[in-house]
Amino acid sequence: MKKKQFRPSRAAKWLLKKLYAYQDRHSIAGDIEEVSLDKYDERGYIFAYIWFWMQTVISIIQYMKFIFVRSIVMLKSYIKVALRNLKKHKIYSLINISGLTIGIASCILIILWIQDELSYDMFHENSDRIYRIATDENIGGQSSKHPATPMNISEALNNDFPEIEKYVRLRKLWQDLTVVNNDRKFMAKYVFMVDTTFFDVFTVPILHGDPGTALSQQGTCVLSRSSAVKYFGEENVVGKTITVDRLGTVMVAAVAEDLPKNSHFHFDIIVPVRPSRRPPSWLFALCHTYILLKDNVSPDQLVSKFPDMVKKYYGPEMKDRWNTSYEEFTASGGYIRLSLQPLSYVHLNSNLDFELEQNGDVRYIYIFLVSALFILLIACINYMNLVTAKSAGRMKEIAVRKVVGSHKSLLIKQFLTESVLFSLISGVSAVILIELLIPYFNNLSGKQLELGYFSNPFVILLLALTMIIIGILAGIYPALFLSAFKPVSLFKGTLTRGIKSSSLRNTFVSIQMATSIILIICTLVVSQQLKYILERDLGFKKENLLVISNASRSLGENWDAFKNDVLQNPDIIHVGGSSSVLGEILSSEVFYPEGKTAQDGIYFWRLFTDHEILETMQMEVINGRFFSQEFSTDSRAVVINETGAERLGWADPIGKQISMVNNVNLTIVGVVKDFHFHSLYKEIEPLAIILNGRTPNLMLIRTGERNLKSSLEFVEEKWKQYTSESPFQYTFIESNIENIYRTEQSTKILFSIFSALGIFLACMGLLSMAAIATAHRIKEIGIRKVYGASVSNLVLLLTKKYTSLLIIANIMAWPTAWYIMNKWLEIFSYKTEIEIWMFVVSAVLISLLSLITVSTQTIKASYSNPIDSLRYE
Amino acid sequence: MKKLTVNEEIFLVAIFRLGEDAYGVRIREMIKELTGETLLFGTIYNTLEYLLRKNYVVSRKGESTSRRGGNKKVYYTLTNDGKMALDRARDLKNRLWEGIPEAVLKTD
Repeated sequence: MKKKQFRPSRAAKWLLKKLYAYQDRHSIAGDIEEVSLDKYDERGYIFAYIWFWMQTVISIIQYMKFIFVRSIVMLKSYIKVALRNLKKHKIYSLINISGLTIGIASCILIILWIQDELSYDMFHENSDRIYRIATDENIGGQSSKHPATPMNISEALNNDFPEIEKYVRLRKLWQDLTVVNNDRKFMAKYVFMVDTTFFDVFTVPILHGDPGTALSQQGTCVLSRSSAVKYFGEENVVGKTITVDRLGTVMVAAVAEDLPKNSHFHFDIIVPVRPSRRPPSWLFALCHTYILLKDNVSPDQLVSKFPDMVKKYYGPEMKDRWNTSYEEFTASGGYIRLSLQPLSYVHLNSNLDFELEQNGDVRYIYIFLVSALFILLIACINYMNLVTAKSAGRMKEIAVRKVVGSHKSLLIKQFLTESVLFSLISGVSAVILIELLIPYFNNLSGKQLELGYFSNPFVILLLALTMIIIGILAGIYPALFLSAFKPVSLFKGTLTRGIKSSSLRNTFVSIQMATSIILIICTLVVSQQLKYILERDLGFKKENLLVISNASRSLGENWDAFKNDVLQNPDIIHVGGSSSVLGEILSSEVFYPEGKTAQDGIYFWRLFTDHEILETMQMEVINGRFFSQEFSTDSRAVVINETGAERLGWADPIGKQISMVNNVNLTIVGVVKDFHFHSLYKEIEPLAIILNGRTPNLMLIRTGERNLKSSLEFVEEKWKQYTSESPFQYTFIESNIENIYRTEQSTKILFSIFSALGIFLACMGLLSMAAIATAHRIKEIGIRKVYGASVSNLVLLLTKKYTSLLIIANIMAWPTAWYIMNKWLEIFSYKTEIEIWMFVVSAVLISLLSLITVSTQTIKASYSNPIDSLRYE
Repeated sequence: MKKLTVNEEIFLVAIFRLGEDAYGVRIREMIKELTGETLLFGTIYNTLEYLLRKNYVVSRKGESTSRRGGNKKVYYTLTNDGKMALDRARDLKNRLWEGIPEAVLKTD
């Protein structure tokens, strides 16, 4: 015998004991130790020691393998049972899964939408250093906020701001322009004059042509890819030429990639800035200016220098134009404040006048995010309720299993497996549903959303993981509850102890009902408001009014001839001309009332028209007269609107004079009733209508009620006779108006969808709650039946409880809905009333649906055989 | 009743042959004798656990020795089910090979 006693490592023994769950059953440690002693005898201490360790570790590994295999086997059997259960209760499974599916699908769609909104403009390489200049001004009592600056801003930016690395001015040409390629004509909507730095500031890949020289020469242009294809049928058109209104013939120097959908502006054609006819003015904001800051420069550094810049550059011109010094200007309450908007801010937060395109709103993101979470929560809670409710029917099965000796943890695992299985099935269905719905959703929202499985495999993994977690979370409560109850209590009928805490459930269902009521009310209000503003009297007759936007450019001197020709048709009632119309851009100017000082200048919007416009638009003269051929002095006349007259403050403005800045005096000959010529969100502002010396920009044609199609064809025919160059492009004023309200239209549709969703989920929740509650009272029902209660009696009794819930729900819902809708309506200057019938209708609708849902359960219960429920007494 | 795997069969036979003395260490030795393989401890206990769960064997605790660091030995005995399973396995094997002379399968 060796002298030393062999002591195997205690650490190893401890490890074995801890990790190997049933090592004790086989006395593994003991066996290994015994053999290790032999090894000690044979090969020595160290060998034995190491051998012991090795065997321990290997045993543990083997054990892991064992457990792993076992778990898979168990899982398979759980899944088998779960599937069997699913088939056995088809309807219940269907309802439950669809509830969860819809909840998840909605959630995902909303998240995709939010992701898209947040990603706007982020694709530019320098997006974190790009800022846009915004102006907040109050001139002559008229305040305006817009993200535009005068063209001359370049002077200031070049001289005084070393913090700027580069800047680019974008001047949008606001009308639709005709593009001609050989003899094919197209309309371009997004045409910009830009500085050569455009491609330095923004990341827009150039597909063909040289980026360095793309914008360096006058007489050239850069086309977007889609424009190139549209005009020429192919992409690489460098060197070809096109003729564009107002720009003349330009050669394509390069073709650039289209700006993606999630950009706050898009372009069809860009050309280099060209010197303008009139000397540039500091007081006319003509372009959008984007600044690329140097690294590590804070925007505040620039903003702090802006006030001085305004004084230095805008000031002198104020003196020239308005005879006011900058000090006098500010003293009288005027201001011009410049600020910087980060690029990331623009799409979601900027909704000023003259945005390049309609922007989104960050508030919607919050609303949708909250809604998404809410929907998910509700779907999960519904699921939990349904599972628990259904389990009432499975009590017998469970009881039997427990009696036979199912381990509690086994049961829990079984239920969890079922829950996760449901959850995963829902997840897959949700994905399928989304794939089906995405085209419609994209259509609605104008986006390009997609589930990027391929771009990001993690997405699938994340989704699967989330579903499993949801399955576990949603399934835990029922699983625990079900496995915890004592079988005896089933047979005694005193089960559902836990379910009895129904106050929580009641509250929950009330909330769901309240939410549905709120959603329906909101939908009704939004629809009502939309209808109201679309039908609202605009101060002129908007039906059957066509607008041809390129009339003056295309017809030129033939305007009158064309007009007369067109009027030959009895269905064409009036033809008039105007510089702008509802939905289009308008110019404005300060006017000075006669006899007042320069301080009292008032901002008027200006409209240049012909004589016929009054009748064409059917505006109403309430004082004086409109322009007339009889008065040659009308070239120096002006017609103002009611608001303008009010602002001027004269009792009778007819005959008085107002003057523009270049000392042109105009005599007021008439006042028209206010009509909407500008954004419908705002109050009507002063308007000055002046007779246009030249042909007006837009031609308005009023057609008769009938024969619309033939009238249009007639006009188009005539058009072709007069101009071969330009396409006949017209819009109806009504559709212009509808376009303005596109956001609201989408809101209405969204609310409708949400309502439907909310109602569906609420019904589900109600169903589950009703199921539980009636299961709870099954014994009571049995007894009552024995004593002779009829089915209808029972149904009435059982539904009584829900009426009180309904009332509570309504009490919660009505004030909330009223408050929310009031807040929303504040956007509009002209709004509809929130009316009582909306509340009533929605309450009735929800009540009806609730009762129907509940009665499915109560009727089923009332028909149940008392024997079954009282069997174990 | 499911068929025994070869592994299970070997273990059951080993336990049977050992009689009273069938505990971990001995089983391992017996298997080495019978098959020539020295099994890892880990493998042994996995199989023993399976056999226990399938009720082919039962275990009982024995005496502890200082050699084992104070742990009691665990002895295994065949149950009736185990015996039956073994019997069927043997039966099956006999039927499989009935009538085939040994020489046929020997290759040179």
